[in-house]
Amino acid sequence: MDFNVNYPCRNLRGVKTVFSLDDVNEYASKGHVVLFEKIKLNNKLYSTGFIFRDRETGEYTQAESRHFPLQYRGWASLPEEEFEEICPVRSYARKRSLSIDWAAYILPIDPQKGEELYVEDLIEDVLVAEFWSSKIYAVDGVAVWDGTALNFKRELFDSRKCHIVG
Amino acid sequence: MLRIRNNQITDDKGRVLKTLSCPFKVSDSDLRAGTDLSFECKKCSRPVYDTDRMHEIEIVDLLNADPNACLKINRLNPIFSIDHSQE
Repeated sequence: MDFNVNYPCRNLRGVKTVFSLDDVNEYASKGHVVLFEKIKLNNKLYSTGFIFRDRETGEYTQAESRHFPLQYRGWASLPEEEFEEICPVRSYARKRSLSIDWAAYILPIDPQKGEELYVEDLIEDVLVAEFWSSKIYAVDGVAVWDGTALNFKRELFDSRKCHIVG
Repeated sequence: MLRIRNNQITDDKGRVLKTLSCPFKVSDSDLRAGTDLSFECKKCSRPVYDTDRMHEIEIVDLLNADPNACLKINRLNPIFSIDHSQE
């Protein structure tokens, strides 16, 4: 599940994210600063489970285990005599390419030291929170350009900002 | 889906179910374990219902019966649509 930062971004200049050298070269030739970054999968964004087959109906289903809690109270069970375990599985919360392990940030022209920039597509995979079986990951961010690197405002990824009480 | 705008929770017909307000400005760190469905507020000892564990219809029924019921809402709960433009 996507998490978008809650920050006044309307007046911030944007940082694009590209995934091909053609795009990199097009922006570089126009004078944009290009920052390459490796895409590193975050173990915290993985969910594990199993594929089960209903022995009576033949239907396949995926569950975290044979016995798991339900959101609206109670538990669900997939007993062995009724469900055959087919194989363990792992799934990653955020859609990522299997073809390349890098991406590049394209900064707006003439970024100023200390300038806040809005990054619309975060290269880093950040787990913000979990909601039951859903992994909530950041998809954008705000960073300050220091002349050589983007320093992200990591406090914006704070899961404690996720709750309202009243 | 329940909408939250200007601290008001409304249903899909626009009917106001509750105004979110707390005189103690409690956050989730001010809550202690309570029952299966609710926490206990450390400031005033009132129950605070955990909407993570409630169907939308249960939340609506609760607020129809008691619009002053205290709620803990996860902004990421897809039952709620939060209008950030007013924050």
